Amino acid sequence: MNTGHYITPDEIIFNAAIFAGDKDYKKIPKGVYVSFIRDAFRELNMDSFFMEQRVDLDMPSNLTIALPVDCFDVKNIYMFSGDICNVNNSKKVWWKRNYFTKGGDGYIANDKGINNDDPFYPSRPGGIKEDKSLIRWDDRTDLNNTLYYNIQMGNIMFSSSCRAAGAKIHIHYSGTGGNIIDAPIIPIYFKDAIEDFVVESALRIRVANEPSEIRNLSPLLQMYSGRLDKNGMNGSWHKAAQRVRSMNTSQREELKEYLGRGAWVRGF
Amino acid sequence: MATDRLRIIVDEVLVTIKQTFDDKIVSQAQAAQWVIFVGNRLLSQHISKRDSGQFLNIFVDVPVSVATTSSNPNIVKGRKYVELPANIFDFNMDSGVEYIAYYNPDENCSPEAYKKTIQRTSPSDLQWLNLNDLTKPSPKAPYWYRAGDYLYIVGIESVPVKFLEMGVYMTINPLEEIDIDQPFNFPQELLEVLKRQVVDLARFSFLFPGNDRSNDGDDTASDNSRPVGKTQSVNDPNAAQ
Repeated sequence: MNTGHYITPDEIIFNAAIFAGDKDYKKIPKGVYVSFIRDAFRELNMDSFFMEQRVDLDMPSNLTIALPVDCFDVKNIYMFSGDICNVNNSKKVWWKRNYFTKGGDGYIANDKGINNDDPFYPSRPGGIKEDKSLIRWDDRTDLNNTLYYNIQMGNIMFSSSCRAAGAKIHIHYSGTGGNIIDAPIIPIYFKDAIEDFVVESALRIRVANEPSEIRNLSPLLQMYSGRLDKNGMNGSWHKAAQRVRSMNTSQREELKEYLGRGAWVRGF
Repeated sequence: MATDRLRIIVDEVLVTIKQTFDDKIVSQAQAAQWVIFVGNRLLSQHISKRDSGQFLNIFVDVPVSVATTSSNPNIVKGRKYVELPANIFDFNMDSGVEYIAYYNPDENCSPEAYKKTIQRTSPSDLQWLNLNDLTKPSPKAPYWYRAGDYLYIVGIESVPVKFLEMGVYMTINPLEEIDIDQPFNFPQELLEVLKRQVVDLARFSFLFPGNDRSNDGDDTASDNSRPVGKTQSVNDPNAAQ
């Protein structure tokens, strides 16, 4: 699903604080609610892959860049020249397992094309030079031009062939939502789940810090744990993730159209 | 709102305990003191139980100060603070202060309904709040904590706030300051309880015989002259035994 309706943290706090019995923020500071909203938004994004982000970076000389801080899942990486408004020669960069470089000459990988006497990785006649792709060997392909990368501890390491492929790197990734404070970036179908998450978290704080109120707070906490059902399939959390993952009607109907055709041949 | 003056309540108590003659042993000031003692307790219980603005007192333009030198106890050099404008009830979590707020006149955002509320905390809680960028003290998230009669404000160190507005729940003024001919702001439905408990306090003081306190060189004290309070059962008289 997609929506144009995005809300601010204040709209969540408006309900959450009063549901947690703290509308004047005398039990819990307001910043704590915002922090819980951020946690919920990050968690929900990681469960639903809702937040798609793109970033353009310059290729560094050492072939290594840090992943965007809010990235938790890389979808695609491309190289291109020009700038983002005028993209030239964009090419996809492929993932190569176990590839490691510090940016200088040579690299470490399981399969380097020439694998002398390795019992599992055969040597291939096309790959005499340095950079080799793991993807496949094809005698019609110049392996030295293959673009690939690997990720280790939050750093993306590119093959040296990427230097010649353009000065710009385009990373398409799933983000956690970054640092939300005032901006309306929460989609409306996350509202109930985030609200329940925040109330449940606030009530946990209150139970821990207000032992004299535990008889009143415990049933409330139980109720909101049930409403949220974070690890199950019967609460607002699962419902929100499900909504994000469901297709738009247009996408669904048009996919049926595509798949319903026997072949894309003129006249049919 | 018209309420009884303190003088009327005190006189009523004096009449009840028959202390209206010239040589009375309970003075008007003493009875007024008893009314203040009991009144403070009843008033604090009343405010705690009710969500009402009847006893909220708002002070505006409370000056913000920065101490130039430290002085024990409670004055710390370099920190912004305000002094409590009145004696307040010491409720749980400093709830004797209902709110503290400021607004920046440069923002031209009056009315004051849009003011920034400063939240209550404690020095030890501040360590915890500092761990998160969203709760860390800042002009967007200012806090106050109480140290005696001073309320320290954190988070607005770099903001030129000169005055604050605050709402507090005041205790009844002490005897030296109170004007017994001014309206006595007290829950009307508790006046009967107030009178009963003040009279009880008076009866308690009568338990101590006066002649024991005069030194005449002889043992003239007698237990027979000591008034004894009536013993009241706490059981329901209608309940079957």
